[in-house]
Amino acid sequence: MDGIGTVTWETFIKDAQALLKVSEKIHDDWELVGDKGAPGMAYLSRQVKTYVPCEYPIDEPPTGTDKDYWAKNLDARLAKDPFEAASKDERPLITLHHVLWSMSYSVPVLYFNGWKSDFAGCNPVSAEVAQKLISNNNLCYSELSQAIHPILGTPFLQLHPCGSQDLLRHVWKSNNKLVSWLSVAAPAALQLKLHEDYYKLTIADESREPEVMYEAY
Amino acid sequence: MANDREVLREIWEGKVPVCFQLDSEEVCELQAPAPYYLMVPRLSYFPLCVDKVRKHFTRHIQKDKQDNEMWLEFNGAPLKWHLPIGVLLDLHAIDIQLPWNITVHFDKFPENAIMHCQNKEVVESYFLACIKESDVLKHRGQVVSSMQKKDHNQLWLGLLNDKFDQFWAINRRLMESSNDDGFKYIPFRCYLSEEKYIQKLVKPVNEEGQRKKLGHLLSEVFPDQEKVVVRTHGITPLPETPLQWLSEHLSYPDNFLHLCLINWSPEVTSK
Repeated sequence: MDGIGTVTWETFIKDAQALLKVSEKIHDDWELVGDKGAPGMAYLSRQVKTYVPCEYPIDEPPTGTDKDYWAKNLDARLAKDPFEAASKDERPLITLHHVLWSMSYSVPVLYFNGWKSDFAGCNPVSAEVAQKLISNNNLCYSELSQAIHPILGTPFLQLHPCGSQDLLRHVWKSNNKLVSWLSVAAPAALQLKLHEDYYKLTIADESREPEVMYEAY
Repeated sequence: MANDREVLREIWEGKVPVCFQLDSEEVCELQAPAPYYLMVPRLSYFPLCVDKVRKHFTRHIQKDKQDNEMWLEFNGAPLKWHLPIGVLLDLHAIDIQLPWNITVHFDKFPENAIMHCQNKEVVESYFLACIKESDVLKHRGQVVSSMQKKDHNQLWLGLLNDKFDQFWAINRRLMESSNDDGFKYIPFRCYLSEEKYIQKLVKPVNEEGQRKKLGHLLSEVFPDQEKVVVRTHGITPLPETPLQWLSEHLSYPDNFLHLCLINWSPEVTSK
């Protein structure tokens, strides 16, 4: 594919390298993995461990037996012991984001995974739960599903690339389409936050105000 | 357009005998249940044809595992359900004796190796996403976007219910090309293993406007190698096979050609 709404492999790599320079400065751990010389074979990657409030809705809906269990144990759970030390009520969440380039669609694609534990690979966030986390957003990204990572061959969650061309059409003036696209798409991917410093990459002349403004997440 | 109807028919009717056996560690009785034999279509996906297998084995496993997601294993590794059965067969052809012995599991789902598939709608959305992608390659996505929801349904139901005419009544539109040059690009995947495949943008004609053959595609994908041989639908098509014809007639229902490498030197990777 070519034309407006698409990004060539060369532009993808150029934009990714500009992003990496900013990332190095602000130490937010993006890296470029793979073979830059082969179209589609390199990707941006970032893994972080965060802590989310215990009530953050990343649990699977309870099954029949779980429901009974919680009904029986609810009272015990709610009764607070006045002598118990206060806990922070937080739990670990590891998120891994990969930004790949789709050869068929000529657009960037987000693959990601989340694990509700201290260890990557253990206790993954399901596609259903990840979908619920974006129920309030108004992007046309209803197509969040599991997909096989084309380079690693393992299951990830994915925002389907067919919506990306529409998004990219709106940011055609951007000096870094990858960053513009990512800033809009990222919140749908387990609420990935892109540091506000990246927006500067999207304007060619830093003294000029951006013509297309996006919320900094 | 795909005109050789008898070839399409022959490909559609390809089936393989499978012997399903419950993993011995999951049997909760003294006696293991009898194996379950099925003829499965090569063009289909495992989750679409194993309802009866599930029903047969669930009675013989622990009660608390009976609602679990079923998954399949061959040769010690989970089988990736998102690949058509024929592709899995071609990939493992060297290790398979017919009937194909597959182990059935209900426990310890391999989260890090295969996608979840709780119902057939998961397969449907995956299948339609593949159709969409192939049409982006062939016609910039214009044919799929001009189709109605009922056309998408018909493609899906044709595959699900093994109805050749129902499927091809719609699929023929995806196989048309607007000019003599054929498709914009040939949708294909070249598998090195179940995990790894190569995809490239390959046109059906060269710069002089001459029609390319399978051999041209393989030398574009593996420029450093000679005599690359691929298997698809259990056969090894000759390098002289016209590429556009191959795409129209030997693509799987997802509209991709799935080519499995059977002869190459793994130390030389493609550029």
